[in-house]
Parts: sequence; structure tokens; C-alpha cells
Amino acid sequence: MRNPAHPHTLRPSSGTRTRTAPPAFPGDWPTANPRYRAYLLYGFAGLFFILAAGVMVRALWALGSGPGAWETFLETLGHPLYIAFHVGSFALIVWFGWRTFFQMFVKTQPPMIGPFPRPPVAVFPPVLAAAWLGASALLIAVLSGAIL
Amino acid sequence: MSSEVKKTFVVTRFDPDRDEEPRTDRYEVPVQPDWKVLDALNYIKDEIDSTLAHRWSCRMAVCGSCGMQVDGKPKLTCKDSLANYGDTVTVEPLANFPVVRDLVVEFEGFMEKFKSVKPWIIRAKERAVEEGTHRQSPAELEAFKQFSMCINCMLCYSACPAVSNEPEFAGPAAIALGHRYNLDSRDEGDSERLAAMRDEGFVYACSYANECSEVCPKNVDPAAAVNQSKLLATMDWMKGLVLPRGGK
Ligand code: FES
Repeated sequence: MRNPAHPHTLRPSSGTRTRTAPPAFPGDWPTANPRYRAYLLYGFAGLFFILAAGVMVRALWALGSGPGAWETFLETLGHPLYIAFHVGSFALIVWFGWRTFFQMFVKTQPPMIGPFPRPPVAVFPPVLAAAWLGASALLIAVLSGAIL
Repeated sequence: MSSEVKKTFVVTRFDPDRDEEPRTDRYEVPVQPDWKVLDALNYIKDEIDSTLAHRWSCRMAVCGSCGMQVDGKPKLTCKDSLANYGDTVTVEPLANFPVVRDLVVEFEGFMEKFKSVKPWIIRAKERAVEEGTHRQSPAELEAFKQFSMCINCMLCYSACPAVSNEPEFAGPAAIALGHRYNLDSRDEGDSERLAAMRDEGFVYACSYANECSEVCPKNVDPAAAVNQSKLLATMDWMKGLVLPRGGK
């Protein structure tokens, strides 16, 4: 027997006329199906982002506590655990962004965008990729001081 | 000349008068190369065990009544070729639905959700008969046609993890149907439906597994309908905030 789903899943609100067996989860839930894995990872990524926000708050705290505290904070960032965390966060945010903008965003586009019919779905990923690369290049140029 | 091979079918059985919980029975079936899964189930029913209960009607992927889990995946059994499977095939009732008997599931909970999207054309004022019919251009039809191809087979509900976890979730087919009417040029009830869709258990309960669209046998793409409805429901809410009388 597969894992039971929520006992009230798709049950009628009034009592059933006959005794029924409870609903079960899909057989390949949660890890035997790549789309379920992606769905779970997408939700799990939120936890990582909360932790990353915590590091950000710590950075601001150190910044406000003077140059000594800031230097100490920068040193702690060199710890292998911190490096692993940041590499993991970076990989996750790239994947998260790709899923949000290249999959979900494309799905949200209605058949008419304003007065114009939606372009073919295949047009979206290259246009979005160009916008993403352009925005990243601009950001890197600004942060590195190459422009502005 | 028929080239007969035998396959073993492991079929879920549940008799509400006798069984505490579902069990399985095994059947050896001599199958033909062109058979669908439903042909094997009908063979079991006709030749081996007449007590097996399963639903089907059209045998041509139109009525939507023959949905079951085949080797763990939701399938229309009249469309799903046995050639896709190995020597042992598992057939279970659709996931996420209470089971009435053997492979037959309870649809009433779904029918209630279905009604909640008001799946009919809503007009602010009915058109008088002498004014003639509502005309619709091919482009206007194209805007919603894909979402009107649903046959209510419920495969999308059985594949959706949000349905498994959140009993109040209206689910993919019902939202796709509501979206179909929201996109219909003859309809004027979109604000009414979108307000309902912003409620708990509607569009925002979906966090995009996309499995509904993967398993849909008619390429309705319910995940697109749900996610487009999220956008439309949000825009409708914002319009209500910034425009006098909600822009109406
Ligand atoms: S029997 Fe009608 S859809 Fe399969």
C-alpha cells in the first residue's frame, strides 16, 4: 500500500454513501520522480535563503560594530563550512532563478499580452537568457568599478 | 497469426464490505501485441475474475473514465499500450482519490470543486433572442480552446502533490476550466471567478510541480492555466486597488 495522502483529500464534504479506502499518494512520491524532486528542492531552497539572509544580517551587524568586528567577520567567511554554504547557496539560487524565470514565468504568460498575441513559448527562454546575461554583465561591471 | 505472450497483472482489489484495506491479486493474461492496458483488464473481467470492478466507456480517450495508475503512473488505460510495459504490470486506482471498489474511485469531492469555478458563461445582462447569437472569431476561440479540451479524466489530480497535501485545493482540472471561461470572449464573469480563485485553496495553493501537465493525455497544460490564473487573479486584485470601482 502506498503512503496515505491527507485523509480528506478529494472527499465529498457530505458523508459518502459507501465506505471507501483512503486516498494514497502517487506511487513515485516523493523521490522517484524528477519533477517531484525539483518541486521539493524548490520549496527547500527557501530554507537556504533564510540562512543566507541571516549571514547578511550578521554582516550588517559586524559593519555597524566597527572595523575590528568587520575584519573578524571577513575572516570567519574563509572557514571551509562558510565557503561550502556559499557555494551551495550560489548553485541553488542560480537553479531557483532558472526554474522561476525559464519555467514558471513562461507558464504564466496569458494567450494575449496586452493587445498582442503571446509569441511562441519557445521564444521566451532565449530572450530571458539574453536579459539575464545582460543584467548580470551590467551588475558585474558596476560592482567591479568598470563603469560608474 | 496472433503472437501471444503472457504478462502478469498485479491489480489492487478492495471490497468495502469485506476488506479492511486494499490488497492485490495477480492474474496471468495472454496479451496481444496491439492491446492496451484496458484490454487486459477487460480480459481479466470477462475470462478470469468477473468480480473485478473498473470503469471505462468510450475506449477512444474521449470519455475520461478509464484513468488508473499503471506501474505507478496515472494513465488513460484505453490509450496506454501494453507494449510499453514489462512482464509484470501493476494496476492501481488513481492516487489521491478515495477508493470505492477495486479500481473505481470516488469523484464526488472533485465535482464539488468543479462547481466552485462557475464553469458556465456569465453575462452581466442576458442577450435578447432577437439580438442573435454571440459571435466569436477564430482568434478568440484559439485563446481558450486548449483549456476546453479537458475530458475530466482526473489524471492531473492523481499526479498533483498539492492535492495530496491540501484537501481544500481546487486542483488543476477545475482551475483550468475556470480559466477557460475567463478567456472566453463571450464571458463577463472573470472578476467573479478571479475573486474566488484568490481564496485559500485556489491558485496560490499550487507551487508548480508541473506534473499535471506532464500526465495530461489531451495536452491541456493545466499547469499553464493555474499559473496564468495566478497572474490574472493578482492583476485583478491590483486593478481593484488603484482604479476607481476596481476598473469596472
Ligand atoms: S474508456 Fe473513455 S477515455 Fe478511456
